[in-house]
Amino acid sequence: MSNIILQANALKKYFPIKKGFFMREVGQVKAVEDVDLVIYRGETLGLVGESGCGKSTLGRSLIRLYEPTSGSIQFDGEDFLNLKGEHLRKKRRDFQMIFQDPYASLDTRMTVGQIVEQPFKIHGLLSKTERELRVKQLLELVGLKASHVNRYPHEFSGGQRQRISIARAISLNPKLIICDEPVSALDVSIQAQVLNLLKDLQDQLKLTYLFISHDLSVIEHTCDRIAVMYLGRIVEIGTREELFKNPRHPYTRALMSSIPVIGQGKKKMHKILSGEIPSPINPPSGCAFHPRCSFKIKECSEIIPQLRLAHTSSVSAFDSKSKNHLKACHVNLDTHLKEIL
Amino acid sequence: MKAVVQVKDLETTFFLKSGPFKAVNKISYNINKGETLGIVGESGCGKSVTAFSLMRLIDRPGQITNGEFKLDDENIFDLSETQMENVRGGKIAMIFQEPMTALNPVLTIGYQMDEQIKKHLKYTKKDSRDRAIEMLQLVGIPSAKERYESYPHHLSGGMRQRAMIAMALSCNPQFLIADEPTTALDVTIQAQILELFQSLQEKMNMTVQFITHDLGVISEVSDKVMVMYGGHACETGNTQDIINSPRHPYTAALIESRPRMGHRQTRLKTIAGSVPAPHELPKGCPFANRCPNVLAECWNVKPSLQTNNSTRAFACFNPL
Repeated sequence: MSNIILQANALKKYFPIKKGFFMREVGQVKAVEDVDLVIYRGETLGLVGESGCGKSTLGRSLIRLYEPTSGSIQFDGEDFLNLKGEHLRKKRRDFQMIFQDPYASLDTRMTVGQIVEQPFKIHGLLSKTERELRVKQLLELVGLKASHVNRYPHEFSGGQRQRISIARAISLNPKLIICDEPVSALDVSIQAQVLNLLKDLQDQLKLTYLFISHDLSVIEHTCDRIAVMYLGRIVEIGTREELFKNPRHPYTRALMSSIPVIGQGKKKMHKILSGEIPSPINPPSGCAFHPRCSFKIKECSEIIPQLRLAHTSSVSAFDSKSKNHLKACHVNLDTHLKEIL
Repeated sequence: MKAVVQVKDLETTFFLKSGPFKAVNKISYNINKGETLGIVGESGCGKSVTAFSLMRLIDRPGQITNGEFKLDDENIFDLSETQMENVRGGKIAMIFQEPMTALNPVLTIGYQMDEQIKKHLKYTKKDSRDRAIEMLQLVGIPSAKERYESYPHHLSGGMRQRAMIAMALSCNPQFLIADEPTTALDVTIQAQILELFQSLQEKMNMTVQFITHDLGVISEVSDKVMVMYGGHACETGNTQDIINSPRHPYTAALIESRPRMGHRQTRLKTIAGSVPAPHELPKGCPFANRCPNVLAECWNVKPSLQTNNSTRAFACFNPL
């Protein structure tokens, strides 16, 4: 068994913009643009970026909740985009999703038992009594009580509801779980409980997570490797240690310096990033980040930078299946940082 | 230094069908001129109700049932509703969390700003237009003249929040209440807005009450902090002291349960259980059912804010 669970190549997802009485297509939102991504078995890969950068769309496209516009996806060694019908349905057991809003992602008219039992019914697994037993086990596994099966979602708090959706997600022993901002809607004290639960389940069930969040401190806590997205593209990817110690893309640096840190005192913030994220309908030429970048050079507005090894200045080939630290930027940050210091 | 804002024993009660419930329970604090007080707590702790009470924007079934609020020795709660209209937006201004719902979608930004400036500063139409454009420029909105004619939906979230700040500051308020002003924004935009906020505060020497659930934001913008839980103040003091050596178990738990950049741990400390519903709050200390240091007396007796010196106070029988 290969240690790669999912590999995406040149993945694109465009949404059409339709206007007028005849709903003619007048443009496209380029939500995901040429993404290459590898997820290794057992790891937690973090996907971080500002709202509208395409991180959720990428997560959903990877498991075909959105049908990608072009590109290829290898899931467990199989060409996933060409699967159809019964094959596809069977394959879908292997991955699940946890959504951001635990108030919108649970059917209010189903009991907790029915919600968690649903995946078994859909896939025609286990007998009725076995299912009931399994549902109770699952609820206890996520820190709820077996006696909760007959209650409805509105009887639970936000944190408990997120536990219900986690129980539903792990019910079929999936290999990969896409966690789309699983703690963003929760209070601080509840966030910690859910993050710890996700970690425990990963250890017990050997799960792989794609963890989508806009919160870098949560990402740093949970993830082994981190990919930073900006306007539909991955601009930097690397292991947690490398990325946080030595970020090589100006956007990653800006993102990190924007985070308010507990206990640093009242301080003057450094103005690193001005302006706002541009529209993905009509992205800037060249590097999409160049209008906001303080290090930009001439090439930046002309040539789209490709992902390459972060620590060499030359464009050298890299093994797309290794865990190299990669960045998509024309600028060698070292020379600039010396100037600043 | 004299306190500009003096709040004493503020109590706001909601008279619900299930019985009265005190969303804000005997809260007192002072803010000195030019200082920022941060109020921090989880959802439902009463931090926003405190702000709305000061603005006297509490609607039925809610009611301010006790306490006084003095701004520059003027007792705001004694004013008539007509006098209050002159205070809101004039002496006291407020910035809300969601600029899209706080701004009127069918009126231009300029119209909404003019309305306020004409009322409070008694400017003519032309002067108020100049003032509005000047304020929009001050908060860093590009091409302010065009934006003056724009509707709220023409602006992005960050720009809308800047417009809100411009509007709030347009009548030179003595006291500004900011209710989660950056929560709905992205981190890079949040950093821009917080920086703008600090520079404007310095320029205008404003007194600010800053409400947020994010301890990181609090520790960057505020001089003093009040931590709230279940409608009660559980700890107050200088920001640095509270962050570095919290005495109330809730404050400590709140700080520790948040992942901190550069201080990675394999497991996060958690607070057991969740915030209880209003009618389920313990009779004694509101935090008793989740507290790791709970004593027998905590269940029955409400701890009051204990002051050991002038700057620090906490409500706990068994502090850290």
